[in-house]
Amino acid sequence: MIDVTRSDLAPESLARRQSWNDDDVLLRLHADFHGKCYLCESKVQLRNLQVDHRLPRHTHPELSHDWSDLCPTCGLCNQRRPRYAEPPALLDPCAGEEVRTRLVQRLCLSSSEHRFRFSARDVDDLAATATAAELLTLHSPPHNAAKRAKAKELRDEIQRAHEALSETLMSAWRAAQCAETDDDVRAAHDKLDEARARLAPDAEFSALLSSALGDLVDAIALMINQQAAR
Amino acid sequence: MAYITRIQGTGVRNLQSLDVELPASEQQPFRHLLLTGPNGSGKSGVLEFVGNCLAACRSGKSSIDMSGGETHGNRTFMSEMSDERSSHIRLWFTDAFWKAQADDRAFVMRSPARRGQEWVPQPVRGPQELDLKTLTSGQGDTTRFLKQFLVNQRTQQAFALADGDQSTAQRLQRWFGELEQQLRTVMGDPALGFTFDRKAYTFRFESRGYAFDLDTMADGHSAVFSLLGDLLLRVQACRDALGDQTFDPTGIAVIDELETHLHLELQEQILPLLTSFFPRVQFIVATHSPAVISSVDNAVVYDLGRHEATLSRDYVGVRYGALMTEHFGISEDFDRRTEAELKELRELWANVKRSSDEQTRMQRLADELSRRSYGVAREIQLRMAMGQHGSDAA
Repeated sequence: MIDVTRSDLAPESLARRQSWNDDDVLLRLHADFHGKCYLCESKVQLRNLQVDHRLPRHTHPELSHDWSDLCPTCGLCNQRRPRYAEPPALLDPCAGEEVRTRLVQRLCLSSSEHRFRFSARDVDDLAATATAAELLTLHSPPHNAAKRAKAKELRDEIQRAHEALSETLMSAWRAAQCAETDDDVRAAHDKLDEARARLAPDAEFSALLSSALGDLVDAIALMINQQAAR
Repeated sequence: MAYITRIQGTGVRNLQSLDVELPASEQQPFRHLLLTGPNGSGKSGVLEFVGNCLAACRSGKSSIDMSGGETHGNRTFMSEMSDERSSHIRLWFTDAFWKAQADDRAFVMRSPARRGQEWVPQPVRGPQELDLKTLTSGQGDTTRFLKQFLVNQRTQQAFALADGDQSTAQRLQRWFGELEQQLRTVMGDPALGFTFDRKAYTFRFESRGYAFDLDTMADGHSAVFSLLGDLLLRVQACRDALGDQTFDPTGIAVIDELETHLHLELQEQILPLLTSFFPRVQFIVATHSPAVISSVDNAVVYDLGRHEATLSRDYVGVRYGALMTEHFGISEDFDRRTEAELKELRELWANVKRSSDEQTRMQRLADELSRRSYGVAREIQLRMAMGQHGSDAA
């Protein structure tokens, strides 16, 4: 799940309070959220984009045309969000850096059963815990074999992006390790920049990858600077 | 014509339970059934019973057994009971009447799992009349008569030309043209040559510089050819019985292990081919292949291990690896050894109190698996390189 800055002015069609997925809404959501589903961070084409109400319509009907409650999803996440009788407090993707600071999202390194690890940084943070639970459900749909197959495809894509980033970081680390000349240092920085590009807000799965591997980026940057200082 | 709309059964041989609906509608008069499941889950048993039910109908029995036959409005079912009252299989059909007598406008085809292995070379010495109706009414393999049938067709075409019967000659020419096209698609060679040697009364193929005939085809191709041929013969039997050579009969084809002998590309193509060549036939098929279950969009895929039905169109476009794990239930879409190594690596990473031997082992696994870029091995390798020690929380 990502943090974005929502544009201030609500799309005009919402003022009429007749529909909440006119073209202007879709275009604006697509732009604000970098063309990604706010939940799984896959790139979504404009024509496949579905509008999700963060606080659901059946419990918060007054928000059905409220710009602040609308988020873009791929079709699959929209269906897989749990249906709450009473929605818990959840993290807001448009509240500064709330997601990045309060949520851990990563591939699970130790356990074989769970592929992803979503959790709150602070165990007492109920909104983050509820958000983590929701994300876990998205990636592990029950029952239906066809839905599970789609979820596995998503998992595989995330894994591929994760592997590509890890490889780039490994190259950067190796370059930093044996950097002797100024050119070497520059080459190491370039490699690290390549990695940072994969973590840009508009890159697929970037928030998840940042949460998973971001600490390594900083550590390698530090190393390069230390090498340069010598 | 009656198509099957539901199969329900329990306790028959090693079948635990089965209840699958094949809903028919105005737009879609039938759905195919693709049956999957682990070995020993009862796929072959189900197909055999379905075949027996259908065959019994056509040979004049209104029900195979005993107290099972009933008619409920639009549905008819027959049941086959074993000695225990609780074991049965029931079929539902679209038509109110599944005629007890053989209906010439429809046919049934059955193909067991061991097909293609018993292609018997067939010497043909000239045209010889075939009583197709009798030949196709039994349960035996009809492919023995395929060559004779083809020779008969060819000779009729020649006679018609000689007699000035243009319409018959052209009809047969079109028929051979279609057959050639079908064979080209099956063999994957648009330049396949299919010629009749009138001295030896045999058909020869030439593909990619290699010549062969019906008796020397590769196993995979002869498996497809037997399926194709069996269906063609049954279509012809209906046409002969009705005296209408342009009639397109309906039918039900029950085929066990459709993908036997077929390389992957043919596995992807076989069902689309058969359903396009015979669009009025309902296919009831057992398969182990992810390529087969995602190859058509108007089937129901039913897994006997999980007792779960899925519409095949929900599988179209899904990667085979995802089908392998989520439909067929294997744990990973890569080999077992790598799976075990990855599991070991993750367990070692979680064990922060590992011994120095285990540390060495972890390093070796991380390096080895990273080279093949597996899962989280690369991240573990990187963290180890940067001096991190692992974590049971990560």
